[in-house]
Amino acid sequence: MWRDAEQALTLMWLLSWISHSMCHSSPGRPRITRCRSPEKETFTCWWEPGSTGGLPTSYQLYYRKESSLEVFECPDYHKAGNNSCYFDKRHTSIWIIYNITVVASNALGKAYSESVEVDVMDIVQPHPPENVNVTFMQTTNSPYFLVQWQPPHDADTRSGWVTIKYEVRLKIENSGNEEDSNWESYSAGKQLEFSIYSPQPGANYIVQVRCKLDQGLWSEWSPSAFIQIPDNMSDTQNAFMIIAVTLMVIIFLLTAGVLTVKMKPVKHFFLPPVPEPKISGLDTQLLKSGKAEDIFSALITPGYPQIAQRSDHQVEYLVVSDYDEEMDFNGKAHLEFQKGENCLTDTAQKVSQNSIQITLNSSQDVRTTLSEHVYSGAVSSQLSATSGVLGEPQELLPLDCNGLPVKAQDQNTQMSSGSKCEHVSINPAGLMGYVEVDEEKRDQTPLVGEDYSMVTDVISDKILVLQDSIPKQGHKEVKCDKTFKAEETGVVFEPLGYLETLTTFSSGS
Amino acid sequence: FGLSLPAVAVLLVALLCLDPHCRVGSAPICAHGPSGCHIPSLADLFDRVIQHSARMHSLSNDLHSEFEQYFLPSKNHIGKIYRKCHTSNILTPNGKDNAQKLAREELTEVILKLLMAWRDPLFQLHQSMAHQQDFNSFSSNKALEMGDMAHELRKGVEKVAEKMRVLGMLGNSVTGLSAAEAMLPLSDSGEAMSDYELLYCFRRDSNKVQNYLKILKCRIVPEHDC
Repeated sequence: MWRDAEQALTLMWLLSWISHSMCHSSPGRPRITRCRSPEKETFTCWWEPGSTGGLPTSYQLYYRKESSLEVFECPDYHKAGNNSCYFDKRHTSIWIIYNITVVASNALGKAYSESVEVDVMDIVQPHPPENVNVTFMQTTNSPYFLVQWQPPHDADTRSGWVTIKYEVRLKIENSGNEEDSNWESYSAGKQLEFSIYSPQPGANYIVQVRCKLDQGLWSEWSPSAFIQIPDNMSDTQNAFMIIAVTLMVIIFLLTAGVLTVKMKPVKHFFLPPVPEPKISGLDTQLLKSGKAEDIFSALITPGYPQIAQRSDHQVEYLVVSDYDEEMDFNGKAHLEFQKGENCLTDTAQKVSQNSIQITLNSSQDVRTTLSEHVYSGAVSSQLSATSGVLGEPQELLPLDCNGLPVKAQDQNTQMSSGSKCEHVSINPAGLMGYVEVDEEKRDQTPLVGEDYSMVTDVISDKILVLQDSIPKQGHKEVKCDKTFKAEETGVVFEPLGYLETLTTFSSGS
Repeated sequence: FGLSLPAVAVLLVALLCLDPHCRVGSAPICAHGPSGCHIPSLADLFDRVIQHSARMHSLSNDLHSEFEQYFLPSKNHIGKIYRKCHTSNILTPNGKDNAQKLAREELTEVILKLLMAWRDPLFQLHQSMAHQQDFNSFSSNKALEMGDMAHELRKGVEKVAEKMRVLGMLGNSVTGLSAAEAMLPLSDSGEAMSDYELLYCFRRDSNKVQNYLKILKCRIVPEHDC
């Protein structure tokens, strides 16, 4: 039993002795974590110790410069804190490689860290900018806030040794919203202040600044500066005013629109009706509803048409003829136009300022195009008359103001000497091509008043082109007068001496 | 024609010598002072060369890091300490205090020596980079631009020195300006340096040039940015 107890004790003593001796060992390898130079004139290296081995361990830092084999020890272990080595200006050489090693030593041995090679040029990282403050500037229309700071105190820019560049970042402090939590960064160059325009009213901003020297590393971000943007009351008032005015305008427009549609007086106020062409003395209602005889009797009222004036006024003729075949009316339209006092009686009549272009396309489907061009000088126009019956296009009859082959007889008793309008009526009857008036066709539906459905084209302000759907006779009349009226064939409602004009045309050669 | 050769020669000489208007001379473009054209001031010249040197250094930085990234994947710097640049013979100030203690003339001379020493090696670098397929065209273009820029910078610094001498800022003790010789980039053992070594050395030297120029500028024309 005593033997067992001795053995147990011995065992325990052995164990304790072993365990006690196992706590002590040579130190573990330290590790150099980083080296930094804040101003490119001095630098500091920090290391991280390995295991201590249970014994008090001391650390030494040794370095070697690039070109020599001489080994130096760290000049200052304390300035930069624990486990650090600070190289002051005297001991710092730039553009030279340092080979640095840290040794951990205790009673049982030494441990060497891995060597690190540094060139001070590569490890330049300044301290962050100092005294960052933000002020809100309330100008009238464009509020902004101004960020100001100071350079880190140890960077020497005055001698030009280093050039500092800054960067500002800000974000809105928003407790719940994730959208606004991103930083906005702005490069600020070398200046010591920065303006942020158009801040959000009522928002809380966080602002930070950092810097770097030449091509070195960026510093840490400075401590945050906070600013609260006030709610801008005048802005909201402006917004209300704008909304109110807009609503008023919309309401006004709506009421105006509704009233315009519903009530005629308002409608006439906003949209005055276009005056229709009216012939004095002519009752359109009567024309719509009445019979032919009533209509005619309504027309022939005392003083209307002014036939009696005919002898007092000049006679105007529209002469349309062909020089070569003047007596041959086959398939040619003859129009005679003469303007009395201004034109010579001969064929070389001079239509003072007018020329007429007349186109007859076919007798089956007569589409007569009449246009009158009022020129200030002598012009020539062309008359082209084609007859589909003949199967060949008519030759163009040049109409010239000076030598006028185009003749048409016309009487315009209302024309004054200076007037330039004339009547033209063309009636190619079958093969004859005469301009003829067929009085029996008058009772066809007139083209009067507001029925413009037959009009296919408007050439000038005096000419309408009508579509003739019953091409028995190609009546076409163009009246260019102040009271313009274009009529379909067969029906003559020409109040100004048209009746007389009609009778002057002969329907035979 | 009858004229003999000596007679023709005599005539030519007579023409050249007797008629001064026939001689071709050179007149400065900005002969009429500030109204004629803008003569850059010394501060402008300094700004220009400093910008130039900054650009040159950033190019060398880019090339060096490209090299390290693609050709030396292990960031193993062992062996660097034994590398010696061919410009190590040129004594250069190794800190701010040393640079400030140097006189203007000596500092200018150092800058010019450095730039001159890199004239041929940069050309060699571009040649060897252009011939290797490993590099893309951007890198070899950068090397070419870097070489041109070093050349331009040297010309610029020479102009600055000239202007300073004219303004009386530089003493006449600067003798080394014209005597800066081009150096061969040989390492200690006499072999030609590799591209990587050249890039490393040039990166360092361009940083030196940039710093020295800035010190010089703020000492001579400290108006702005100092």
